[in-house]
Amino acid sequence: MSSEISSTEVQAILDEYSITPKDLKIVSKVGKKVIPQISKHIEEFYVWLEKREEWPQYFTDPTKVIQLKALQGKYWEIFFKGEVDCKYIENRRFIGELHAKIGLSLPAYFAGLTRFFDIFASDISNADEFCAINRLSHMDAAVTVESYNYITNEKIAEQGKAIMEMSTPVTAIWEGVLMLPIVGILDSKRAQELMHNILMKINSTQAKVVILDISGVAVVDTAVANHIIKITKATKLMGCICTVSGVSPAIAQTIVELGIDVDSISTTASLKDALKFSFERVGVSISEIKK
Amino acid sequence: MQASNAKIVLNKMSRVLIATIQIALTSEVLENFKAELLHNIENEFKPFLILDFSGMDMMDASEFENLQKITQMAYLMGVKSYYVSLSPGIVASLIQMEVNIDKVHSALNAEEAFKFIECDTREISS
Repeated sequence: MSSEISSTEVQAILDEYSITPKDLKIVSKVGKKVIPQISKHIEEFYVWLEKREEWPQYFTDPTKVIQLKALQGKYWEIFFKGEVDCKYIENRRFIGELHAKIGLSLPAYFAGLTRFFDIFASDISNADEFCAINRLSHMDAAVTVESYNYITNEKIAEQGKAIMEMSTPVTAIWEGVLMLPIVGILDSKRAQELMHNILMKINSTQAKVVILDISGVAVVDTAVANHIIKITKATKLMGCICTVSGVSPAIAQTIVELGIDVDSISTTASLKDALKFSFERVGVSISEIKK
Repeated sequence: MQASNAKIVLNKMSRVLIATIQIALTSEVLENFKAELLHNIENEFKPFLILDFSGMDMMDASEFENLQKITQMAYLMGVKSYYVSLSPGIVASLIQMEVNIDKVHSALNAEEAFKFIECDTREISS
């Protein structure tokens, strides 16, 4: 997460998990026993990690593994220092972002965390120490997961946007002629998006004719027909002529049987006819080359 | 707040009236426009009217409907109206609000509207 964190927010997070200065002191006391042996602990952790299914995916490069070990050493050093400040939270958020970016799953992260605590168990001597470490580690996990989720949601939003853009491909096929093939399902959200895109494109290209090809629309029912009529009306209001092409026998039957009023729009069976009509409107003629 | 003298400007050409709309269409503005337009048609008949919306980014359904009523009145007096340069935002919102636009003739821009008018004139004379 890119937003900076303030010391009041840090305190709020600490309060959320009831972490007192006393807890932090206890953690740093345990740290004095753990940190000198941390490289040994990390080696022990890697013995376990090598058997996991994530191993071949993420840890095959030996130089990377050395780097990772150093990073993990740093992680625990920071943890057992027992000083939670803005930097600490930012570091945890960064770790969450990193995991989200490489696509390491949250269960794998938690399994690793649990494994580390099993390893540290020998250094924990009483219930107070256990409670303090437990609280701090829960806070750590929560911060990491939060930023992990943030990145994942961002990814999903980006993908959604990309799909939306791909699903409304308005193309200028000739000067003054726009073409929009509609493929798949036409729901109200998509229809709205389509209308918006096509109107913006008409505005920027000053197109005179729009072809709406519906041969790829999965189902045409009253709702879908209404969306199509609305789009044609909007293009008409912009000063464009709109032709709906690709009206198959099945679609024609459905429209008539449903009693939808389509008098106001011009339709053609094939894209060829629509193209011919559109070119005529912009003053272009197509002829065969005589050999 | 708009100045109280804000109004829709009406330009006269040989066969065409051009109304440039750049202000919010309050009932007062529309009332003044209606009076001026109809008075003009009565005194100095011109068969076409172009309404230029290129200065407008927003318009609500009732404003548009009231304007449509005025152009309908002009139609009854023999004047055909062209709505030109409606912005995508206005069009999308009018369609979403299901405004009836069946009687509206529109054009991409003023140049296009003049072309349509030329066609119309030829049709009438032939």
